[in-house]
Amino acid sequence: MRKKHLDLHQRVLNAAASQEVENVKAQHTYYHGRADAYGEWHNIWSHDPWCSWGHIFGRMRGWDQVWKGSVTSYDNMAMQNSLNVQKFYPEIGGLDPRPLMEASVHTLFTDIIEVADDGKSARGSFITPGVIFCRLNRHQYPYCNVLWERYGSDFVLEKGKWVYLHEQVCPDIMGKLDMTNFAHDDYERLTAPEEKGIGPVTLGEDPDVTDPGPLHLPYSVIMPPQNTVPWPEPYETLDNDHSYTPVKTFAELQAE
Amino acid sequence: MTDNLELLVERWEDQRTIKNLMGKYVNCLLLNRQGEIFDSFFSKKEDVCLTFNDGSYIGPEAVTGYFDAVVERNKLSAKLLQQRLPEKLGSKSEEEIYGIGPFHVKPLTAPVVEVAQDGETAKGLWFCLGCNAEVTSRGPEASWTWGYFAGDFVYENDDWKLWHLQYLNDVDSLCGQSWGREVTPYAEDDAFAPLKDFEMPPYTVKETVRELYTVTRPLTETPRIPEPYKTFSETFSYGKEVL
Amino acid sequence: MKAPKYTDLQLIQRVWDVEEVKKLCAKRCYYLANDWRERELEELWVTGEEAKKTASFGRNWGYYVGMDAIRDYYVNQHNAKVDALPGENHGDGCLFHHPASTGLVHEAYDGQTARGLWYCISQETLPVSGTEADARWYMEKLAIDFLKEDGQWKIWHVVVATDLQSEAGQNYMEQPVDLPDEENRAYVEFGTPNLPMRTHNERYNWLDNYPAPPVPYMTFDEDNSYGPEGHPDYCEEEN
Repeated sequence: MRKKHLDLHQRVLNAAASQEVENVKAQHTYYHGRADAYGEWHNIWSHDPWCSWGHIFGRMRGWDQVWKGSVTSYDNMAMQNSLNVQKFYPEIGGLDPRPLMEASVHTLFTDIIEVADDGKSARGSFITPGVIFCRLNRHQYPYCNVLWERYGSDFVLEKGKWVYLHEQVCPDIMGKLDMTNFAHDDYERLTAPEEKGIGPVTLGEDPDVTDPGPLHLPYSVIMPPQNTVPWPEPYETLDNDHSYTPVKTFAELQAE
Repeated sequence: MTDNLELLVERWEDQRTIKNLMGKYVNCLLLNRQGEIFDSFFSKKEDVCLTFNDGSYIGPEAVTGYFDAVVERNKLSAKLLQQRLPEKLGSKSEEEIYGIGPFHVKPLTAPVVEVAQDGETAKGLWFCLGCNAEVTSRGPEASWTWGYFAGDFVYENDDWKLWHLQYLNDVDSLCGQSWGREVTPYAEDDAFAPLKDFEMPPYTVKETVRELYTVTRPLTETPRIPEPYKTFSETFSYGKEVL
Repeated sequence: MKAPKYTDLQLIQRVWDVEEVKKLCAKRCYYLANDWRERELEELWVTGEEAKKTASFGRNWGYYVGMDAIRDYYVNQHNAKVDALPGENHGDGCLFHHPASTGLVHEAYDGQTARGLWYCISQETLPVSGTEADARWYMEKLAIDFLKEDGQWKIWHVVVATDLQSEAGQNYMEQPVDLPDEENRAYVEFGTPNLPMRTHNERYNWLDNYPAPPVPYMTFDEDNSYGPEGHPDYCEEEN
């Protein structure tokens, strides 16, 4: 959209902001690929008390809850994993346990990005074909899970730097490289569960959340596609009508 | 490149809008909102065009007819799934089950977008790494679809619209099997037999635009990469004329 | 590092620089798919004499340094291998899909170079007989240094770091943890670089963080490049 209703200076800033947001989003991918949750949340997230991160299991709200669920618990998983894997591969002793856990690589496709007219926030939706792979693990064979998702992300400008405020992750397709046919397998699970009893790959233990899930469910032949993260439209400013996590009042939170 | 500030900003906004437009298009495919696509995203021009590997729909009526047929097919897929899985879906209305079954995930990347110097048209090319679920006469099945979206765009009523769009695949092959070897299809499923009789509208021009991959297919070039241009008459078209 | 203050015109020109760099990377994907390797080197890579000497193409097992070495590997050896495949004509039954996504690009504050990192969920399909082909997934990082030559962005250093490969339709979990070199199609394809060194060890996922994501920078420095000198294990005395 040609934003002729804005002054030229703001239009230049918003063009640069759109690129900055693409970079922030990509940084997420590369941090997450190394399971560097500390780096990600320390460097590219707002510490705003209303920041949020949502997944199938629900939405964490507020910096403390997000940090505990996304950094502390995640690091804990990596350390536990390292202790288990060291039994089979003593060579990993002393190495950073986080990237050794697995590489979760959520690539970014189909970016739809809008920067607010006021230049203080930006919103993006993405389709993310992803792979999660690891060689050294307690099973002693390599694995590569296929995980295709969609993202809805809100970003804000803080002290001259673009950072995440909200993220909603929507897993759609899960499988194992390259032995699954997600549609046919789901149909078989529904029609002949005794023959096809194994469900999709699970996502580990759920963290504490403020908004309980499920907020989104993976593809199933008995469910229409969900529009959990609608693409952003041009907007003036970040508010409840233009956000992936509308802010709730304290009373609303208490009522829950 | 020009040093006209306003022009630089406007052209940047144009190419961002075109990327967003294609993103919305493929999101509508994913969400089975094909019925909205023509009115929301296509130009009012008479020579709008939608091309697939084996032919083109040309003109508003033909392109609309294609999307309407996809909606009808979606409805039939949902109805057959409901009949097949009454314990899961039996109590739901036609509206509630609309969209179940097909899941057309067409992620786009590697955009090459060129906006004409006159700002009236633009061209774009994308890689598409697709994972496409469809209900067929063999039941629901998913396929890897490796291909390209290539489009001409036109600036119309203060917005960018699709003018000519090509969606061409190299690979369209069942997930979980190699597209380089003989693929074993799933068995026919009587519950979905009516889908065999469902026919999409005939192409305005039926021709092989791009052969799907086979081990004997010659190396086949991608759709032509957009090049910088001044005005549309000076560049090539992704469209198709009716002769 | 604090970014300099730019005028509106300077800032939008820098925005366009990044856009052009991303477009150049995208074009390379289509050139690859078309097997236009010679054209890629001629049209998309650096042309200046000094830059051609330091141009490099790296994979997990080292770097080809200098355009002559790159051309010999990337065009001549590749063409010979493709010509030796079953099929009447060059490229029959072949697919070379390396769509770059997840672009993270920084232009130097001096505007003369740029650096970018992408990820590619790729596949290459090569015929093994008149009726069958080996279709193979590749997961790989793609890192590129770009140089502005006479106002045009050009590719200078490339690193393709392969994380895994697996035949389509096969269970990746049945692969051994360490794929023997002779079964590693990427290793075989890479041949013998003129600067052999282990650049990325996929045994440990992304532990080595190579190639690392680019960060904002003032001006080009080979020690922070995607050329061999930018690799943490590069030793000048040995090379």
